Amino acid sequence: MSKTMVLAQLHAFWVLARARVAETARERSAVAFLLGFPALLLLSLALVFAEGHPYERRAVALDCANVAARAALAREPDALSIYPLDAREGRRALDEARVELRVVCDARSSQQATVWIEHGPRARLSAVAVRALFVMDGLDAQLRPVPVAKGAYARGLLPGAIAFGALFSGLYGLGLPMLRLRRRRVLARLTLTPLRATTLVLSQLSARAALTVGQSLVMLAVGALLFHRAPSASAVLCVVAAVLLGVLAFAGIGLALASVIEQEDTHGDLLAASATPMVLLSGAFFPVRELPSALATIAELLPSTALVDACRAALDPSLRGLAAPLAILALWAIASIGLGVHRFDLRRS
Amino acid sequence: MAPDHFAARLDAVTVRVDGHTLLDSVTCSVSPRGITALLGPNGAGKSTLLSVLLGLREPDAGSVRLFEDGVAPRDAPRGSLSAVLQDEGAFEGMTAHEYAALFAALFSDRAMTERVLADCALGDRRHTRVDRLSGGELRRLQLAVALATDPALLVLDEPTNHLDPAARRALLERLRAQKTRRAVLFATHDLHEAARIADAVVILVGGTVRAHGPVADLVRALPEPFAQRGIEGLFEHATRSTIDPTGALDALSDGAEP
Repeated sequence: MSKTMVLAQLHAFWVLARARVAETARERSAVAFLLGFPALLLLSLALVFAEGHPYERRAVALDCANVAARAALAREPDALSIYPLDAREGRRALDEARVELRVVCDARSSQQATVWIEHGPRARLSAVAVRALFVMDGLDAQLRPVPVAKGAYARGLLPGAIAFGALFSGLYGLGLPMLRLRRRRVLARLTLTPLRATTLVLSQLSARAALTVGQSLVMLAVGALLFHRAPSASAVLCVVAAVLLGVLAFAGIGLALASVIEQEDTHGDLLAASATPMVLLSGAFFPVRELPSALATIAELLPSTALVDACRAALDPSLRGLAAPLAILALWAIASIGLGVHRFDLRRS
Repeated sequence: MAPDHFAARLDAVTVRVDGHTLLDSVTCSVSPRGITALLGPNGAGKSTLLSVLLGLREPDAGSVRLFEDGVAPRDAPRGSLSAVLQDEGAFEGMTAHEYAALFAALFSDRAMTERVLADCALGDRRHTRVDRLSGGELRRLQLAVALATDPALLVLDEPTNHLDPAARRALLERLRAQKTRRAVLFATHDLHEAARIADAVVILVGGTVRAHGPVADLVRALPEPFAQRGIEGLFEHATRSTIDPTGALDALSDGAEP
């Protein structure tokens, strides 16, 4: 490709991307929905879940290889939901009030081992009840209060809310508009120009990604105001990276599906049908490891799970566990966009 | 006109979709200057023929060659082949200025934006979204964009659809002004439009060419009383059908036999 051609593609990319962003900015309702709705959603979540989840059974994060301690907890299957989580995930779950208690022990000295029951200020009674189970079995169990801020549960929903914003923005933000452009014969007209399919797709993708990053930043800002915990600069950058990769991955999936299902209505139905299991299995509502092993393996490879994990890890001060979900998202993005660009025929009318 | 002197030539082009033959061994050509009207009722295969000619669809058989060097449509020099497609839309949220700027960017011609807006007289509506322009304004903008690269062949697929009479007249006048500059091929199912501006016709019914060539030559060869009625008589003679007084060909069936 000649230098002139490259410059023409770059210029066209800029014109298309800027026009797409400007299109949204000109529509008050679009701006309100893009930026205002997520803020309202977070506010609603903070109000509804200010005291934690009202209907959930007592949830315990178990980081314990002691057979006797595990057996003691297992005697109360109806009263307790037990999630085997390692130290990092368990602390994060407790910090976000997704679990009331965290049980920690090791198996080195069996009966003689001390079982620690970590709990927040509101879960002391639950901790006492669980301690009784251990004591009845002759185990040494101690309570360890830890600080859990009010609104922690709602704060714990923030990464999921950001992730789902990116998921739906990507899924509906490229394939469906491209089908609409095809129906209106804009794509066919553009094939009579030097415009390359890659330029068109990347321009639409970039505009969508920019809007979604803006949405995520608004959610981070609202979250900081509501939950009195401002994310660090590195956390913001990591969230932006996760959102960008998430939008790319899901937009690629939308485009790949649009190359197969060409009717806009059917395509929309298919997107809704594919989004539902991805959302449910994303780990936002229950730990993926709780699923049957085959399903858990599938769920861990889903882009939705990687996106939720990446957003959670990005907002964790340690940033640990961020690389793997980002890598999964990058693989999904490369594969789906590559497939979509390869298969979506601009000339078809 | 020399046999090889054409803006476009279709040789035995056949297109089939799901077992239906949309074009059946179509052979015709478009002169390098002047206006050729592609006539036929709805469903005659006009849009399919134009899609093949523009390289938007590959024929199942036959070939399409453009210009003196006989290139395939997809290999045509940049900007030499341009079009306004049937019911063509635009990026809904774009302004008229952004729409023109997109084509200016693609053809590396910075002056094109202002030239297009001046050409379609939309300078004062440059910041209006294209989906809020009237049908006539949008068609003017699209035609100005199509002409901005000074194409050797301009293809228009029913460009006057959904336009009011004034906008339709203005567009036809605009096309008439292109006669001496380039080849214009425009599809229509309105004989009155064709009669006003066409130098040549291709009559297509049921995917087959019933007549093609310069209007004057074809009409001169007609028997009376067809010859007196110009293009309408030509069409009636070629298709053995009766034309509606409005000149619309919508009511003709695809399978009308000569």
